Amino acid sequence: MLRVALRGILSRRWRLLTTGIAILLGVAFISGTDVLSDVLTRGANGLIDAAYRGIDVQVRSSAATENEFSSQPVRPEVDASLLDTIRATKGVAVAEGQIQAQATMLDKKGKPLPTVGPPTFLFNWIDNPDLVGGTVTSGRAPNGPDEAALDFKTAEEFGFRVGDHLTMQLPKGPATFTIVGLGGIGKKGDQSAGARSVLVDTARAQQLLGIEGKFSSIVVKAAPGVTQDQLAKRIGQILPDKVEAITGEALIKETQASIAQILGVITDLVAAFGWLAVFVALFVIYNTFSILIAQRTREMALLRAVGASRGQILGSVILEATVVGLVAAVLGVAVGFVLAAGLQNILASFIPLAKEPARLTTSAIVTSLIVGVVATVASALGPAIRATRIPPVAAISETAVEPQEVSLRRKVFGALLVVGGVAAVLLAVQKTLEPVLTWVGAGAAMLFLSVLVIGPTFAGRVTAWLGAPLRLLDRTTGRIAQQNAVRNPKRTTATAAALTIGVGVVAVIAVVAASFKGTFTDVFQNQIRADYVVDSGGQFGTGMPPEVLAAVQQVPGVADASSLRLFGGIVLNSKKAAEQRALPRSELPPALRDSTAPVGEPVLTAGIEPKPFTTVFDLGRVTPGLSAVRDDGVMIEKKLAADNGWKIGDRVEFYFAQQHLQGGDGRIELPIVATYDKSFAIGGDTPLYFMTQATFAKLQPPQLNVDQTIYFNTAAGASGKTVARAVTKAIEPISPVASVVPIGKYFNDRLAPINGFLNLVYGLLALAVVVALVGIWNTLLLSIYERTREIGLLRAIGMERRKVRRAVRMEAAVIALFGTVMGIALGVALSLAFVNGFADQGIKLHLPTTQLVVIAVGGAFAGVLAALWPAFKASRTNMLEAIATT
Amino acid sequence: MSDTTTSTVIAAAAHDATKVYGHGDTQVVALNGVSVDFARGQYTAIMGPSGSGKSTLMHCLAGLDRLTSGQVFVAGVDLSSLDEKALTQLRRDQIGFVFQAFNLIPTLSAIENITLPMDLGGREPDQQWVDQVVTTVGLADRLSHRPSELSGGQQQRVAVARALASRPQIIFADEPTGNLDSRTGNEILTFMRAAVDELRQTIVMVTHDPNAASYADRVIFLADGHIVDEMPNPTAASVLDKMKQLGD
Ligand SMILES: Nc1ncnc2c1ncn2[C@@H]1O[C@H](COP(=O)(O)OP(=O)(O)OP(=O)(O)O)[C@@H](O)[C@H]1O
Ligand SMILES: [Mg+2]
Repeated sequence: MLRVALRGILSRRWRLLTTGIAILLGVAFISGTDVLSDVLTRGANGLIDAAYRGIDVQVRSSAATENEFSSQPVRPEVDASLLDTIRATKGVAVAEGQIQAQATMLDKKGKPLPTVGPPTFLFNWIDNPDLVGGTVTSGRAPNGPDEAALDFKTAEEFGFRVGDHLTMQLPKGPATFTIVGLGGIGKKGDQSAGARSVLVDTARAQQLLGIEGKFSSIVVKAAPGVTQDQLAKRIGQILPDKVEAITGEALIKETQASIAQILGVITDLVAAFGWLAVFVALFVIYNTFSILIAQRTREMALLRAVGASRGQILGSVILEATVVGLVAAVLGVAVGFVLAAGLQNILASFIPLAKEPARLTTSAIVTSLIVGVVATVASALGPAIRATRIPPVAAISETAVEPQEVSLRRKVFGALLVVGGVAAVLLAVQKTLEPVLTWVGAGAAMLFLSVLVIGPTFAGRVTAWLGAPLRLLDRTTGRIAQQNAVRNPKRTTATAAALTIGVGVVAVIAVVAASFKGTFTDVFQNQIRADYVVDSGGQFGTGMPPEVLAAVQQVPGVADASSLRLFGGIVLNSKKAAEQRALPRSELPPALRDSTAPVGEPVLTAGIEPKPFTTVFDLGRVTPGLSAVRDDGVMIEKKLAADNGWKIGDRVEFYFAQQHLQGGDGRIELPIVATYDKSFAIGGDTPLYFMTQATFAKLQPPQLNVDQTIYFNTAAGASGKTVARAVTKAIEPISPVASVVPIGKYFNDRLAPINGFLNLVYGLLALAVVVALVGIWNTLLLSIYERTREIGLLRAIGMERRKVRRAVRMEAAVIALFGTVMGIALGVALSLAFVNGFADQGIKLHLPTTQLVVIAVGGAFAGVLAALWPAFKASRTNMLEAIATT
Repeated sequence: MSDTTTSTVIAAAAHDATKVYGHGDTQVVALNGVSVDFARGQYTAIMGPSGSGKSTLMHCLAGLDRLTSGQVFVAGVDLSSLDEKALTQLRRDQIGFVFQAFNLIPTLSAIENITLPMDLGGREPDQQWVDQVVTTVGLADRLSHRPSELSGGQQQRVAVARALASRPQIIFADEPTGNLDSRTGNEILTFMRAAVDELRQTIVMVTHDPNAASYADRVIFLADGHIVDEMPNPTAASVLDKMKQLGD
């Protein structure tokens, strides 16, 4: 029996090949991301190690708070006077104050560097190779207020050279430096930090950031013979509270852990698409084995007739599946490795991590082999069991094909899947079932599976309907194609269902994205009453000094100029804050676990001048009235108040690290002085607390006392373009990074990164679609093999090769369209549930109709593409062989 | 059995037809310089022992296969001068087929199978003619059935109807009754005879059965790729005699 099985595998190797490809693709993706994640993590770890190696102890504020807009927690500065105390401590060899702040930088043409990509940081130059963590490799170190060193990678990318000028936008205004040196991280200075770094004189950095007398942290080198632990302990004893001393080792570990967490999120996302592809591959394998077994009914029956037991039949099919899965998995690991190495090279040109060689990880190998074999065997199990039920008499009966009727048991099972799937999705989006994504995924999987199970009951009718246009195109060929598509509803459904999954997920993403984008645009267009926006052009936490707004207001023709400043804060007495406190510390991001700052809900605070701001930005009805919004009070959305059971006059308890630093415990209570009723679209679902700019300035760090955005209108009679040009000219000297943009362009610029991300997701989803197309290709080849006689007959009685090819392509188009239409239907249904789940955030359904039609048509065409080779094969059918009697 | 008027119009012909399979040691000469004419309105049976080249001759005459040397004409056209596409169209429009089995497309109904060659060519079937053919074959009440819902004899009748429906120059039938019991077989043969007599069709039929051959106007005997004999107006007895004579 073993020999029979192995011979069979060999003789069917080409037909099994395509099955293998389906599983191979999924496995390659999963193992590839594992390898990639490993090499990226090692690269990042190497860098962090190189940068912090020379630091024995770091002294910093212990009040770290989470920030919605940055991966790293924020810490307030420490007092510069601490430096002398530390230097006087026994065992300290060197101690230096360090400054690090996010900033915006201009390229040589005067444009801000793109916001997508590595962040830009301003550092102070520390004249100690160990503590600065890097080396100047060409030119020299900066000296004096007007000189700067730049990291070599940014210099390369934007064409900066020693002797060039470099302009940065900083909270206290723009500053121009002469580049005197280029360098990088590590002893040789040949590594790039994955961030853009500008290093300048310490006093100048403090002045530009508005933090005179302060450092971001203090870094210390130990005297010979003193260990990091000893030194950290010693320094710790003399530090005031809210300031901590951490060893270099711990600093490296903590930073590595938070980077690993970010990389993990990215690689998990990519791997998720690999798992999706494997799920699709299950359908393809199931289908292939069903067909192969149907085609071998006689052979199996003969085996049974001559005495093979059911167990032996089952064993032979399982063996076949195992071999296919194993071979595909091994090849998948190899392909995944190549894929990862390639991706690493591509990524290296964006985020230069470190030149680590890609390495095959044990987890990649183990996962791949398990996934490959288990997935293949599991999906072949059904067909294998069916094979054991083939009666020996089938060997002599004329035709023995797959049974076509859909049994009652199957229908009931399908109905249960539908009910289960719908229930899981609905309960999950209402957050009755948690974690939401897992349950939505499980529900969606059940629904996709139900398509496979009950699809055959309606496959005939639907494909007849979908194929109707083809009959108009070419009556006879169209009919033959369509009849072929429906002659085996189970096979057609299984082939189409694989495509349904990929298309379904694409549709969900398309609809959800369109709904978010549409809602966002609606809200903006309804709320923003400004014609122009002055965009600070920088990343979060950077902006324009207050003089910019003053300058804009001075320009003739400008009306209603008003600004918005944003920064994070922590609320301690909201419902979410209580939930957050109930979490164990171990679930917090690594850098926050030891923070001395109280745990609460991260929120956004917005600084505005209430009257002018509401003229350019419609917040709806303000209760009791705008004049109630005064200093030392907050205005919040009505719904936020209701959710927390707050009334006007109630107090919100905040924690601001800045306040903590200035003495006291950082806790500030502000009364709710007003509510508004139109939700504000900035910041997504992060709660927003409006306050006057005076209050904002008092509570937030000085370097954040900058305007994020300025809105303005053109006065009646003034030409928009002329005014915009005048504004540009007026602000140029104070804020060269800022740009004046018409409101329409501003929306589009906001949406651009979302579109970029969506394109990436669609690109990854293509994998699942490709696997499904491999399934279509495979099924057609097998079907054509089955229909050799019929095709030969058609050729004999006068069907041209061209038409034979066309018939196969049309058949594929019908199957693919069936899969696509089901995918879109399911996808739209799922996204209805999703969008409904976001209804409390004001998200409204927007159906991207054109896009959905394009997906449907594209699906059909992709099917045709997959049919090209099978169609060619069919047209080459040997007529004489086909009509031979034996 | 039939009138002896021989039409002078030639529906199909082979001149010095030779077909060689394989090379060297494994070379088989299936046809060795066969020359034969098939006059319009004539019913010809081809007989001969297994492996004598009957099917090969028919395939080459019908444009399903190409000769190694020599020529084949159908409706005055030299088939070797035609490319693949023209040959396909000639088969579709000028030639009808009936094979021993697997004659029908399982997904199409009987009537769809019958009009298939015309549908493929985009020709409108001559409705009156199709009706006449269908009535003659006696299938009027079975037209919407799928092949799997028809008996073997009925399937063969549908195949014959298909061959007739497009009014081809010539119909080739390779053992059309080989899979049928004798009564059903006789029905088919009577029907083909009627097609020649009443519808003026030309038929070439390969058979092993002397009784089947007796329906034809003449019988050609093949052996080892040669025409060894020819018999006009055969009867079952005379054919059997000849077979015994050639068989030893
Ligand atoms: N494709 C082929 N390759 C090699 N030899 C072939 C091929 N087809 C036929 N032959 C050989 O050519 C010869 C004639 O075959 P053909 O099929 O024409 O015989 P036939 O008279 O139809 O026999 P039967 O009565 O058994 O159907 C035989 O010797 C056969 O083995
Ligand atoms: Mg033969």
